[in-house]
Amino acid sequence: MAVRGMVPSFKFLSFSSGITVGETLIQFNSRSSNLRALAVGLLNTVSISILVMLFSILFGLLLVLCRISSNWIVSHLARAYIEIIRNIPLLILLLFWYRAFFLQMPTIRNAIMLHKIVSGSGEATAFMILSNRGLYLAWPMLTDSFRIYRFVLIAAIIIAIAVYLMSRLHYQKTGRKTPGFLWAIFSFIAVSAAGLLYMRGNEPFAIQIPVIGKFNARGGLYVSSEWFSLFSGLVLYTSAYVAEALRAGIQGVPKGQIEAARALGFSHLRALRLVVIPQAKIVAIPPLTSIFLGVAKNTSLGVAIGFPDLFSITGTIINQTGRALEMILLVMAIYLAMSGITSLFMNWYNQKVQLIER
Amino acid sequence: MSEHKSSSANKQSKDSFSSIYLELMKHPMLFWIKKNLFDSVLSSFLTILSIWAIVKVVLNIILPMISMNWIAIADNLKLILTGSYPASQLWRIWLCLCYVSLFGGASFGLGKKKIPLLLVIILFFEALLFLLPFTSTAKYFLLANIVLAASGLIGVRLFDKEKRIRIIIASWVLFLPAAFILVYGITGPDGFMPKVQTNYWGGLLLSMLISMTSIAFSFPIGLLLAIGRRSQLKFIKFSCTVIIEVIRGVPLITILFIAYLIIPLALPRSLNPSVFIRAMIGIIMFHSAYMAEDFRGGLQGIPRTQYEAAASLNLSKTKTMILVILPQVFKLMIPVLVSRLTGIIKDTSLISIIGLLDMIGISSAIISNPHYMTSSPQVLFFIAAIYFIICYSISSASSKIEKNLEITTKQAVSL
Repeated sequence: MAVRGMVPSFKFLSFSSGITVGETLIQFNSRSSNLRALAVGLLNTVSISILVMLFSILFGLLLVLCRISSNWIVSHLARAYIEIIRNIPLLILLLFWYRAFFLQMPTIRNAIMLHKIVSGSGEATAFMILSNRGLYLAWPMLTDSFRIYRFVLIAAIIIAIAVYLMSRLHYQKTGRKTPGFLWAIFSFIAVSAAGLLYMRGNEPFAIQIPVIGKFNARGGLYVSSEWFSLFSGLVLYTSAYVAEALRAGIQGVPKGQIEAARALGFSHLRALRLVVIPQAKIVAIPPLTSIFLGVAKNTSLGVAIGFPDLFSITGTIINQTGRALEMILLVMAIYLAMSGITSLFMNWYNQKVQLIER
Repeated sequence: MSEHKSSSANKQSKDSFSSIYLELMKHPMLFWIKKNLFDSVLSSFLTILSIWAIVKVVLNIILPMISMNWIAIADNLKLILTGSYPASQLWRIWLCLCYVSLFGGASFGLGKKKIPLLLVIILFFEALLFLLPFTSTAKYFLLANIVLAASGLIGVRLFDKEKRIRIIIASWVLFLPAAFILVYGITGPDGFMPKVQTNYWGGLLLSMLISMTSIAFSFPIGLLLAIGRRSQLKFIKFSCTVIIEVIRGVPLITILFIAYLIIPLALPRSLNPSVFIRAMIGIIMFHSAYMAEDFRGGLQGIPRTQYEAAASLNLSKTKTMILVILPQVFKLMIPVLVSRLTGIIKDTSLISIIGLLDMIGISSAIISNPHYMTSSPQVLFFIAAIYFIICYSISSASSKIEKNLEITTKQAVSL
């Protein structure tokens, strides 16, 4: 490589990047450094992966409940969905979702709106605006007094943790189980609501309602169509795999276990919660781990629909600076670190579950 | 008195109603509907909800889709399927397809006597293709394909069971070199089969060739990596583990970019491989690592006693591996391998990102043509349908093979 005048160095990272990024979670402009551009991409990737994991668990649970349902039509619909998703490449799914659905949305003038109000000056506002530019939602935005309120939130979190630990202690001392987790959530809500009540008139949040302009809307929470199609496409895709992993877990539990639980007078739901799920978890966690490892990697397909994730920003920096080798090594290291953290967490959880089993 | 009478009448009508109900339930179909669709309140609600959803989907999505303008597909069918492969040489690709039909039919003939589902799917697909605007030669080839698939299905019964499996495995092993010779050509430009350079390959043909080659190469490489990971030599074990884990930890696109950008830098300038070769190297690297993990699972499934028995027969380590362990591993691995094949076919779609014109690359080219600009949903839907048909038939074949060989292994989760 030295022969071609290419000496690897990482100095370019501190140079000004000269690129513009559509979606950033941190301050970024075209004069910011390449390293900062990379951080923007990393944050986008991490945030979308975590959201996708959470939502695909929820959606996957719903799917697997439909799949194992005794209702013929529901279980066959779920099965058809899972089979279709599992046999189509993710790239096609994303492209289809983006080009054939989100880009075919009406323009901002004819956007799909929820609760549209036209004020006297001719300005129109709506709680939800869906157009080919993306989705605008009315959203509670932070105001100045949030600076004070955040201490209330921190206090609420500490109190909730304390309540949870106390219930654990109570359980260890007396052997009687209390719903500690529920109590913790309850105390968190109570404390933060008390804080809100106390700060009446000077609320830490204000609901901002998007206003429709000529070519664009402003205000409220803005979700671009790229973000939304990557997110929803990945959730649709991952949940099918999650459902299959969960199904393998649930069907791995012998039927005799459920029958025994029913014979002991457990209701169907209670048998599911106390007998089936603890056993199904053990089987389902290793495949779920590899599915979640896949999610962070699959977000890199955002490059195909123009979402500025880690990989697409890397590609842009390579084009700008020509530092292919360094950038690829860097991005590989970042992906490896992310996979490592995910698998460490899942292994920890796996071990915890296995210990409960004994 | 009258009250009593009416209540008894009520009871009687109830009795007659329930007797009618019981009478109705004797009919198997009505009983099935009751049991599977209206078993409880929740179940009935879900049934009605899903029927409503199906009606909505059919009315709002499927019916408008049928009435859409499909001219973009009809005009570009050849592009989507074969890219810019010279039209005069298409018969070579048809020959490959005939080969696949014959032995695909034969592979399905291994199953039970019931008419396999796949054949119905293929027939349906080919009937659909008949409706599409193909040239007349293409229609003859399509007909030949159906005939060959059917004859393969029946013809395989002529051989006894041992021979059948051997013939089919041999034919699939021979398929890849045969396909490459047919597609690439052997003679000069004026000859019988002129050479066609790889940059003319495209569409479905390109994806299929890359995925077939990738599985053929990543199989032995993955096996070597898996054996290396179990080696007692620390260095080999360490380096194999690092290779496998690094590749498994990064997305396929990064591997493809390495292949695309770094390989030409690492090689001398005279040896500049085409993008086709680079993409193939990337995909082979990626899937070898995954295959190695599959093999590791297979190797762990062999009980220790097998090694000990081989050692007591005075077999060397290499001989133990080749004669005792690997044949058992291969048998265990067949379903995993087949599902890995669908994974590879799906992953091959990513080569469009590094600029190869596979089906997705072609589709973006078609959509960017102002003439077909509004038909992006149709084009993408058509491509998705092709992928679905291929992958679904392979995965259903995989479960069939699994049943036939009576192997119960867990399906590898590939994402």
